Amino acid sequence: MIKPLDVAAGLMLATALVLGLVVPPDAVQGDLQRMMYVHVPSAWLAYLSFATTLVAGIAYLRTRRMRWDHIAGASGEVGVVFTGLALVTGSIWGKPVWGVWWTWDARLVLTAVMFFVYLGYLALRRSFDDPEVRARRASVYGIVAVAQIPLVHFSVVWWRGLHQPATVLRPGDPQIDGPLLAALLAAVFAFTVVFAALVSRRAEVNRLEDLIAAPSAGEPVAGSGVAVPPIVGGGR
Amino acid sequence: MSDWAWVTLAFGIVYGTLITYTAVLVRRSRALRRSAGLK
Repeated sequence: MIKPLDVAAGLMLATALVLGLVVPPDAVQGDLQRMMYVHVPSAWLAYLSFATTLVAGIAYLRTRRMRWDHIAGASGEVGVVFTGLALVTGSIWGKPVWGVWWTWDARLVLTAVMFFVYLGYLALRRSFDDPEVRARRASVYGIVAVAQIPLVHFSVVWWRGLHQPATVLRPGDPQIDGPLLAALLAAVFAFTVVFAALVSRRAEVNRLEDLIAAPSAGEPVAGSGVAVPPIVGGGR
Repeated sequence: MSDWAWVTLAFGIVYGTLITYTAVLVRRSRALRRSAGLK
């Protein structure tokens, strides 16, 4: 079933695509700069996803409601997708501009580390059969792992590397021309709506998976049908 | 490769991934709802 949020996400994404392709090119990088309209929103949405995992993890630990764990797991997975997209588009941008697909720049390395740490989060979630044990341990992991976000974001300030410093999320006014900023913010907004649609879908899948995996009341569980003979004679 | 070819590649990967991921989730939730006996 297609939900209104899916339709809104599709329309916003189409609008962002058109804007990203029709705004004037950058004075220095020319049309290559248009990759900003997919690279930057992907990176920001990775931050938002992992922040959502943190908030939902805390909410689970406070309330013990599985709904929060389903949201935490969903946003963790969506965050891994966005981080992967930020890494791939950054690499595609780097090749024509820097001359290399990859360099050991602090921002790139820390983003890659964040990607693998959250892959670990997804692996951890698959390691437990008991949903409550899974939810508790994954919540703690999600709370600890989020410490990487400021590290990734401020890496361009703390260490000098090839990656450019922040253009929009920086102290003072954004260093970007008006139409380009408008297209970027439209793309960020569109990606945020897509994020909401994806998390909603994925959380629903998590809920249904738990529902199907849980033995319903009265249903026999493993071993319950085996008759155990009584022990007689003192066991010697 | 021209500048537009790089741009097309990046946009194609991002939009393709998001559309494919959405489609996979829609199919998966539909199949799970059927398995769970839900409408």
